[in-house]
Amino acid sequence: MQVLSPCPGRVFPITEADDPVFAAEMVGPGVAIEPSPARTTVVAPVAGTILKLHPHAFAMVTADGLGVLVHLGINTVKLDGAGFELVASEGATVAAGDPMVVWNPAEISDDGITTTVLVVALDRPAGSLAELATGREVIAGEPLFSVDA
Amino acid sequence: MSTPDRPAALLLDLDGTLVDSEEFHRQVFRDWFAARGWPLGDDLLASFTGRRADDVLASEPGPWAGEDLAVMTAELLGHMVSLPRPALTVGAAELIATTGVPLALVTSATLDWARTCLGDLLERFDLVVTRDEVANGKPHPEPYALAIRELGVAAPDCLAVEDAPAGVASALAADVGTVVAVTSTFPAGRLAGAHLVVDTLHEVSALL
Repeated sequence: MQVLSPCPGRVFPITEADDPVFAAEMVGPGVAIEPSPARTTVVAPVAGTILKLHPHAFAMVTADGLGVLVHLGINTVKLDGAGFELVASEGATVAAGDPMVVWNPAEISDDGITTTVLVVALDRPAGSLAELATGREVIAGEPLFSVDA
Repeated sequence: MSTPDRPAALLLDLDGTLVDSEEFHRQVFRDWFAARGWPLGDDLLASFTGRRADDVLASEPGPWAGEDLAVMTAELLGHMVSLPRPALTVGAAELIATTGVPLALVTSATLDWARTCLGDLLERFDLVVTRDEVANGKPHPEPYALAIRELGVAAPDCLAVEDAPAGVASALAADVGTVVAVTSTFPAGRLAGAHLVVDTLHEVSALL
């Protein structure tokens, strides 16, 4: 199945993300996105149920049981929700492309915090994705990668 | 958005909870027996479960009778370091990497082993309590009590995650407010006393 981009930006390999845990694909394989620096509504990358909705991250599970994590920025958990507006609800079932969180990467700046967005397939082996959009500019809703359901 | 009953700290056990170390240890014994040319049945393999290898080799009958214990221990260590690190359990990396709650590792293992198992994930912990910091291991409350004191939080506000009866008992005895047992190692029936029993750490992420 295809996982879509939750936001516009430039896609690059997650192995180059500025976070050793995500870069080693310990959480799962995926991609990193340098998000466009403007007020953005981050959208659901797949259709499914919202398992967990934090300001800085959300996890979804599809009907096929694929878990997908979207992490907005690195170390953004330290912001304690400041700069994030949640527009979805935990436990809700949503379509791919439905709005989840509003933020403005251009307004996020603090020591040790970057705005890189990480999109990860949970509980999948490292390197198990196909058709990665790395090296490309994408808009929200464009395919990011595909994964065996 | 923060839930009103978000815990003040998350206290996590290591072996069996965050990493599937049991399978790792079994592989070490399979490799060692194969290298020695000794047959290894399920019963013999099971005799090493949950015990220190040198205790078993020193006290139980087996193909190792008459061999030098120090040499055998060194061989086992050699097989250990040549294996890839134990796999993380389902949901472990996500829980550690995304939670905004202060994190403590509360393990009966050594810091070296924690580093081997968790790699860079270990940096996400605000506190690590290993066997070397306590006089009394689990099921004594000391490991959890120490973590709670060092973090400066109230025990009833904490959430602990364990896979084994001794760990559940330790956390309960330290007055941890929410003790969650994960059924990665023991069936739910053996984890009585825990406030909540779950199948994977995804269910713990969903609580935070």
